[in-house]
Amino acid sequence: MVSIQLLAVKGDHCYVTALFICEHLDIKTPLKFVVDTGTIHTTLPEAKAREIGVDLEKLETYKVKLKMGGIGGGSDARMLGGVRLAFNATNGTSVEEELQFVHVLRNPPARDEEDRKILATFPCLLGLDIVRRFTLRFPEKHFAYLER
Amino acid sequence: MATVTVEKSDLDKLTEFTKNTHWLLKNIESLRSKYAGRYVAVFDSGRQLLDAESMEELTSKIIRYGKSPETCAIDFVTREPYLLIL
Repeated sequence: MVSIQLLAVKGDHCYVTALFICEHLDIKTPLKFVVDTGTIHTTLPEAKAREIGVDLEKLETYKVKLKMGGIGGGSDARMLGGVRLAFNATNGTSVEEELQFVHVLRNPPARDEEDRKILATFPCLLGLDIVRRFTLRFPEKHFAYLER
Repeated sequence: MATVTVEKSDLDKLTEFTKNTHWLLKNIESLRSKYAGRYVAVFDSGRQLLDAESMEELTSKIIRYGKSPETCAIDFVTREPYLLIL
């Protein structure tokens, strides 16, 4: 069995870390994800995408434009293809998952300076495209697990 | 077929990032009184912390400290708890 540990802080979301690998952009860097069963596709916010070296302007010229919405409003998104995520498994090995694409979500308008700063560190979202490949279990108070 | 392989050094980097991230997520409330309105970076498995007014300033501080920003857990400490509705 393969098991990936998630941090489940009381009163907060479940978080997991993974190496984000995009070969054609020469990106291989650790990222923090909120485990989000309400998101179909794994998603990177604009600020994080830019930070790791994704040029959104180039994406716009050859990738499909998408409209995305949540309870707080809507925003445009782009698709970034050829992505892998590598997780640390609890047995000391790594678990690699390929994704045909992830979404890169444009920042929504910030209401104030604090909003702008929050958006700069907004977490990535681990969507159902990955979560569905595992069973999500909550056997412990502070940790959950993706297992298969 | 994947050509970029995940090396042990990559997984070590991920492990360090994970330790820093866990520390920050668990301790964000206790940081609020001192660091509200500032960016913080946690490194050395949660044993070291830097703060700054802006992300650019924080990144410069991390590099001056001889650390790699990508293994640090970085967040903005809001003045009030901030909940995500996803």
